[in-house]
Amino acid sequence: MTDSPQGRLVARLRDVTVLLDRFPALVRCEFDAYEGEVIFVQGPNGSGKTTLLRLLGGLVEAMTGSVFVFGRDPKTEARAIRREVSYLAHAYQMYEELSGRENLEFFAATAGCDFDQALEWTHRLGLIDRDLGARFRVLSAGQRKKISAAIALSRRCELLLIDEPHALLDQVSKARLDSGFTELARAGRTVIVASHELDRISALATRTYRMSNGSATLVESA
Amino acid sequence: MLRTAVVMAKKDLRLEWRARVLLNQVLPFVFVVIVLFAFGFDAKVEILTQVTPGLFWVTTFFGLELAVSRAIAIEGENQAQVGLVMMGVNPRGMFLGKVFAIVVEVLVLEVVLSAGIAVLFNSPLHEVALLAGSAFIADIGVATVGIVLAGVTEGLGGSLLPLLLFPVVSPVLLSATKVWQYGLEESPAKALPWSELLVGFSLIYLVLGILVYGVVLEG
Repeated sequence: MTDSPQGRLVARLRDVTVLLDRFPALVRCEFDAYEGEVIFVQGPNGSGKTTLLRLLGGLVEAMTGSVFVFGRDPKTEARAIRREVSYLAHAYQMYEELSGRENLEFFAATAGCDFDQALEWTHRLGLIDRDLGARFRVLSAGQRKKISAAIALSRRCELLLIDEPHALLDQVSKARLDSGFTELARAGRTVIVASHELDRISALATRTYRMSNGSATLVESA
Repeated sequence: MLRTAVVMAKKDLRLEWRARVLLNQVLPFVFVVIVLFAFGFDAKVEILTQVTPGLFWVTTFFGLELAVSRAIAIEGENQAQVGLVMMGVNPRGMFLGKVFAIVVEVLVLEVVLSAGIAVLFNSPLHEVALLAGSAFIADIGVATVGIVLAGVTEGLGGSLLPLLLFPVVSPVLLSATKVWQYGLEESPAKALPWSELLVGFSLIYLVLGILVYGVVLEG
């Protein structure tokens, strides 16, 4: 693994093909991520954005090609990689019958999230204590998304894999989330965001990859 | 690992308390079974005493199976389990926490079941420490296998778990039934070899479960 003037290499994909059942979700994909970057991954539905993030987190395996995250191969060292990775998925990944606060407490106690920071994130995203005291199942879709985002962003890790973070959020929350990505990148973390919000993410991304039929093309560097 | 196990168990018990699935689904079943058997065998106390160990473990097995299914189902909601895996939560801690929560839930069920048997069957429970200890150990054995098999069969259809669970845990259930039989007959010495078998199998299942659950989760 070599670094470059852009910084320490965090993730590298070379000639990677991923099959989900028989469907080629990634095809001969090439991708690099460096420390302190905000990388925007754009592309239409089904182009492979989520699969790319899941591959970096060790949730799917490459059939061919090489994948390295922090110099490790997710095929054999997925658990070690995940200690340095946070993943905000489409699904909320929370417990319906726990309150928002209880969910925060649970993930703080088991998954290396900073509870105070998670709480701060929920407030920044516009949730109030009353919202956090309610059962997760009674919250609106946007409120649920904010709690999931707060947990993902407050995890003590080096790489954040963020899938469609703006879906379901109001404009103010979207802007606050974006400023959060920039802050995290300035603190030396790498943020990879898959989103359809082209204008919004382009403004803060250091590099952008366009996904099409499972392949990634680097379109611009800041 | 132990810290994760405690947090996991507290979370599962809190979720069960709020959803009351076990309470609402198993306790009425327990009540119906005890009442029907009591009526079916009328006042034949000696027969009721003979069938008590089998009846107790059939009902407990049903409760354990439901508790295991429920423990796995709550992790499937919103793909919470994927989140736990992705965040590198200690799989052994997760496993122990789930087993502990199931054992606590089923112990509550067993207390109610034992009380019902004692009252409606007019069958006093002798050797309470032996009965309670064997129930605790058997619960651990069955819950351990249940959690691992539920993880293995997840996504293959819910009907596979009961089909696979019973054959694998039958040594635990059979030895627990014999321990209960000798306990109720006030012959604890006869229960000793069966107790050893029960402890042996439950311990093996527990150790194997701790070792393989991480692999099951990744799968």
